[in-house]
Formats: sequence, structure tokens, C-alpha cells
Amino acid sequence: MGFIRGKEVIVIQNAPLKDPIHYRVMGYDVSLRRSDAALIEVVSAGDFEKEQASSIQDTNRSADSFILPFENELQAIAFHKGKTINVALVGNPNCGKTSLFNFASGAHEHVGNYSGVTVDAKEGTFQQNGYTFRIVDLPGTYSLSAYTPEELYVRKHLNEEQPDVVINVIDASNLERNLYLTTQLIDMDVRMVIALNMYDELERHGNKFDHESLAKMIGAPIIPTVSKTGFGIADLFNRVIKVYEEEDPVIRHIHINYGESLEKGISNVRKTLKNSVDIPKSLSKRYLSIKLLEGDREIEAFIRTLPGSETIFQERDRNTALIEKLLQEDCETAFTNARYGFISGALRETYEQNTIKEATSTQIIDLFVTHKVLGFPIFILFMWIMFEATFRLGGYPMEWIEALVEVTGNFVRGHMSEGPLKDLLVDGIIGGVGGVIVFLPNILILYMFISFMEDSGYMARAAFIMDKIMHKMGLHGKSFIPLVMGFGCNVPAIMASRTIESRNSRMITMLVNPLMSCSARLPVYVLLTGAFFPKNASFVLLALYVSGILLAVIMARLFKRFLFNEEDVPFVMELPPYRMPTGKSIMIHMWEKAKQYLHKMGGIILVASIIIWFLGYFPRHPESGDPFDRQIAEIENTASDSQEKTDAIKKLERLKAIDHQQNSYIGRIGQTIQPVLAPLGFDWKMSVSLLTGMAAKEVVVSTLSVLYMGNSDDGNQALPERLKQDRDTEGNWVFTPLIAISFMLFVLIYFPCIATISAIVNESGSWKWGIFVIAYTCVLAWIVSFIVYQTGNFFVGLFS
Amino acid sequence: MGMWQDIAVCVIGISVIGYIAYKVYRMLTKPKSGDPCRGCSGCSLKKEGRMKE
Repeated sequence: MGFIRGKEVIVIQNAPLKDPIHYRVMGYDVSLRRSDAALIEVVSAGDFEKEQASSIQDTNRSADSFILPFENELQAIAFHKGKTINVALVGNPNCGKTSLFNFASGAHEHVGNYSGVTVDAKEGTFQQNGYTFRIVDLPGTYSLSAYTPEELYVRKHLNEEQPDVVINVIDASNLERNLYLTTQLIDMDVRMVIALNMYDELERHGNKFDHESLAKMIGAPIIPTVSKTGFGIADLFNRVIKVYEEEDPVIRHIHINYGESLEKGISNVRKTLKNSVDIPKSLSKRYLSIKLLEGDREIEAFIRTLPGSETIFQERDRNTALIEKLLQEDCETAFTNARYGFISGALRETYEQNTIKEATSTQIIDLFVTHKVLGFPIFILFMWIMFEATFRLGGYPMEWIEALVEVTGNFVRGHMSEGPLKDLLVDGIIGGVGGVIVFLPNILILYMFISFMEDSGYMARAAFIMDKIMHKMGLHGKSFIPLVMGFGCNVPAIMASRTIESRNSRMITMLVNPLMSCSARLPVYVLLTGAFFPKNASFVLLALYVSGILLAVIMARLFKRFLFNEEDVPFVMELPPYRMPTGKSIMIHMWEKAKQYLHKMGGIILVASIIIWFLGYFPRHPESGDPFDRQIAEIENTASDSQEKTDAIKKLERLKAIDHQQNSYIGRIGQTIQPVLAPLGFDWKMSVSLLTGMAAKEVVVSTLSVLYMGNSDDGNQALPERLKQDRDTEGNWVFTPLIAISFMLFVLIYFPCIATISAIVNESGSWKWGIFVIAYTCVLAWIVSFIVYQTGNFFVGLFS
Repeated sequence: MGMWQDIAVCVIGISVIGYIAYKVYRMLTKPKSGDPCRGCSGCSLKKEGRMKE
């Protein structure tokens, strides 16, 4: 008709009532309905205006040319637009979509070997053969029904964004299940290329698959790929180009034959839909008919908005009743069975499984790892190994960083004149930031283990093992994934709870997530276990993490019983095959974490350290210090020159320093809140550090570091030594092993950081839950620490 | 001689207070964007969101 690429279209006029529209193209006139015109892509003056906004630098053009585009400019924009292909990646969870996306777009998106990692869509671009691909990686979904948020999201994207080509990524080692989604994409009548991913595993198992024949059968090209290595990806996108340019010989529109009864029903409903003029042409009426017969809620809601929808529903209901009478099963099941029948038939002709049944390595490993007796101890063993490595291996680089911090502090101390700036730099900034940055190696090692467990597929097994316990908690096994993510950081863990369909389970998961000890608390644990439990550090760490999990179990049961007592819906937990994670992906995760940690050092930790130093430094020369100065002067004026005199002066200096700190602003704040925490064994410095730790848990350590830096006689003493040797005015130890445990438990449980509260408020949609989490965690922390400290004190008193 | 140190410490103190005041102002006045990563130093999920923008 003349509407071909590069040709100019002139709008002549609208008919009365504005439809149809009179156009002129290639020298002759044609009228088109608006709904038909909407299917033709054009470049208009509006697009030209957008281009202009980005090219204002060209000053040689006349003013008019910025209003009216030249023809060649419009052609250039049209040409460029024609060379941009919008692609959507659709596929089951764990089929390798995100790996393919990362490989194609060069992005470093997180790939976890458990479903639920991609909770939102990601976009990326790349160029190939003169075309620009805009790729959207959609969440993994098993089908396109209207049950889960992921399914609805994918459908919405396909219907509204209408990508030029859909790449359906399927796992070659599990064709039957993956092709179910393919059949639904065929129903939607989308232009599709299939990426037969993990093709190396299919070949390794000795199976034979004639993918070219299947491609011809279903009218969509199939390209073998291995997204981990990049094999086939260039071919895949070359094929996408062919499909886009309508040059592919395989592409054709097919209908899946659902059998006589269902096809009759589809045809009848379709006829009724055809009479409705309000359905956009881009929506396949066959697809709508199928969905209506299946009872799809979202499609029903859409049809309800159309005039004459009662007629459509009447016809649908009539046909549904007829089908159910004939087939003796509900429509949705009938369609599902028909799809699997189609897949089965197609695979029978094209797929040959290797008859020699060997136990795969996955099956062998799973015999032990998911064993009903061995599974749990193996899980605890892995967790212990993780903590042991975090503590022991991390100890070496920790010493190097400590030495570097000490050298820096000594350099400033030795080369700067006395004054407040020197004190700020040495005691405040280097003391505060340096006190936290030393734990970077421990955190990286922890993240390395978590990444390995995620990427290898073991995390999914852990969820499987914990499923029974999760049910006793009143949660899904699916809740385990967000909870385990909380060991890294509570914020993305709370966001990952979106994958849980049941609102009650989602809420409970979010509310107990702060009890999962995040990596920010690790500096506190490593500091105190290193100081007070050097020989049993990993056991103490493991005990803390297990305590957090047990408390989460108890609180989840209480929440389930009193706040969210709706029945759970059943779920499916996928167990993907084991895969050896690439060193590159683990390094990327560690680097991301290191960047985040260092960013925190330069941000909140630095600011907090400076503030705490200020509050501890001022006011200067309080009157309460005068008696100490007088006593020191008196002793100095005595004639004797003995060791006793020196010791006496040192003792007075120490008492003066303690007195100064207690009378500083921070000391006054600490002493105000200290009565609340005194029953837990905490002094005012610990109380202040817990207060500042509300901003970020690492600030607990930087606060202790700043408060203790100026106290010791030996400026080079490390913080753990200072904690061990600190005494109060009566000469009693401030820190004991029992107090250390009580303190660590308090840090484990109390007030999640501001970022976590913010995430809970966002995800739950209410400030009420944020305030509730603050209140219950602080109260629980107080109660647990109180019980531990008082009970421990009782037994210490009993046996001493 | 020590005067410059006092001045420097005052400047640092005022800068820190100004920075905190600015952060609090942004937190209270920024329109609700639905951005769950607002205020966080970031992780790989935040990076995905930024790439989308």
C-alpha cells in the first residue's frame, strides 16, 4: 500500500468523528482507521524535537530549521529507529536469562542459582552488525497465568511495551517444562526466537535433539547457546535481526491445536470478541479467548471495561460449561494438558534421551546434602567452615591493615604540632574510620562464601533442608532465601521478600529479617571474640548466628499466631543442578561489597567518628579537672624521684582523662542512658556506642574506637587490648567475657539500621511496621541480654 | 601557632553539621519516589535500579 520504510506520509484530514484518517503516501491517497494506523511506526516532528534537544550545539542552522525538520533529518531518525531492536528476555527461573543478558550487554547483574533473584526487570544495550539492541531481562516465570507477581509483570511488559522480538530462553536440560512457557508465548502471537541455553549440558548427557525440526514445527527459530561462555549468543542476535527484518525462513504464525472441544470454544468466544471494536489490534483475539476460557482474572478485568462485556461473558460461560461437561475437567486443566500434549508430541519426534542412566553428579551430591538425617549437620558444618575462614583467614590481612592504620596514626602524631586538629585526626578520624576499616577482609571472605553457596546451587538445597523448620516457623521454604540474604545485608533481603506470594508470609519474613545477623555487625563480633574468645572465636560466631536464627524462629511463630494467622498456600521449591561458579562472578560480588564498604567508610562512618570525637572532646577544661591538676602538681613538686612518684602521676592522669570523658557531652549523654542498660552490664561508653550504632552497625566499633583511643598510656595499643584492660574508677574490669557476650547479643538483636527500617516501611507500605520493628527489636534485645548477663553473673558468683 | 588548628577544627565541625542538616533536609523534603535504595550506599540491586534509570 506504500507504507514502507523511509517513505513520507502526509496527513490530509480526519473524517467526521475523527475516524478514519485520510493519508497520502507515494503519490496516492489512502484512508486508514486509527486502530490500523497505530500499527505503523512513524517518525514525526515530535521525534525530531527530541533529537534537537540533544544537538543544540549546531549554531550554523537558521532559527526556522529548528522548528521544521528537513526531510533527510526525518529519514535519518527513521533509519536509526529502524535499526534499534527492542528485545525482551523471557524464560523460566534459572534458565540462564540473566547470564545471557550479562554476556550480551556487558552488565554485572547479580546471578544467583536460586529462583527469585531477579525481582524486577533490568535493561541493557549493545550493538551488533549495525543494529542497537535494547534488551530487557524480565523476571523468571514458569507460565503466563495471573497468579504470581512475576507472571503479571512479564505479561504487562509484553502487552504494553510490545518488544520487537522476544527471546525465549529455555534450559536444554529440561525441555518439557521450559516449553510450556513457549506454548503460551505462541498463543500471544509474539515474534520470538528461542535460545536453547545450557546446550553443553544436553550434549554432555548424550541426549539428541533435532532443534531445527522443532523450530520449523513451532514457527520460531531455535539457536543453541551457552550463556556462561557466550557460545551461540552472536548467532542468536543475528537471528533476531533476521526475524526483525522479516527475512527469517522459519518464522510463521502457528496455532497450537487444543483439540476439537477446546478449539470450538475458542472459536465461539473469538467471534463474540471480534464484534468489540475496543480491543486493540495488537492483542490477539485467540489469546484473549483462551485466557477467558481459562478464567484468567486479569483478562476478565480487562474485558469488563469493554462495552458489551456481558455478551462476551455469557458466551464464555456457555462454552466453559460445555467443555467441562465434555472433558470432565475444568477448562484451565484442559488447556494445560493440551499444551503438555503438544509438547510431548513435538519432543517425541525431535528429542532422543540417552538411555544409559547415569547418576548425575547433582544426584550423587544431593544424596548426602538433602539427606533427612545428614542434611542439617552438613549445613551446620558448612556454616562453621564459613565462620572459621572468616575469622582465621581474615586475621592475616586484618593485621596488615591494623599496622597500616597504626603507622598512619603515628606519622600524624609524630609530625604534627599539638592541638585540636591533631587530636581530631589521630583520635577521631584515624581512630574511628581505622577501627572499622580493618574488618574489610573478614567481610569480603564472608561474602565470598555466601556468593559461592548462592551461585553453586547449594543455597537452594539449604532452603530445601530448612523447609520443615520454616513450616514450623509458619513460613514458606521460599522465605529462607530472603532470610539467608540477610546474612549479607538486611536491605536487599527485605526487598527480595517480594517473591513470596502470600502477604502474611512476606510480612513475617520482613519482620524477622533484622534478626539475621548482617555483615555490618561482623566488626563488632570479630572485635569482641578476638579480644575475649581468641581460641573459640568461630564457635562463638556460629553461636551468635544460630541465636539470631532461633530468635527469628520464635518471633515468626509468635507473629504467625497473633498477627498473621492466615493459612499458607502450597509452593514449589526448585532445585537447580549444581554448577561450579566462575571465579569472575565471585570476584565481582566481592568487589561490589568492598566498594560498598569503602563508600560507607568515607560517608557515614567518617561523619559519625567526627561527631563522636567532638562530643567527647568538648567542653575543654571543665572545673572538675582542677583537683587532679592540683594533685599532680603537688606530687611533681615533691623532692623524691622514684618509680612510685611516676606511677602516682600516671594514675592521676588516667583518672583525669576518665573524668574529662565522663564530663564531656558524650559522657553526659552516655550517663543519661546508662541506667537503662546498666542491668545488662554495659557502662556509659558501651551505651553511647549502641546509641550511635542505630545509624549503621559498624559505627558501634568506630565509637568504641574513638572513645578508647585517648585513654591508654600506650598510644600504640590496639583496640581489643584497650577493651580488655579498661577499668572503671573503682578499678573493676569494664569488659568481661560475659559482658562481651551480652553486648554482642544486644547488637545482634536491637534496632536494625535506618536503611533497613526504610526498606521495611517501603515494602510493607506503612510506617507502623517500621516503628513496630524498632520497638520489638529493642525490647527483645534488652530482655535477652538481661537474661544472659544476670544468669551468667549468678553462676559466676556461685562458683567464684 | 595552634590557632590555625582551632580554625580548621571549627571549619570541619561546621561542615559536618551542614552536611547532616542537608541530608536530613533531603530526607524530609524529597518527594516519595518509590526508590527503595534511597539513602543507602548501595549494593548490586541499587546498581540495577540506577542502570534502569
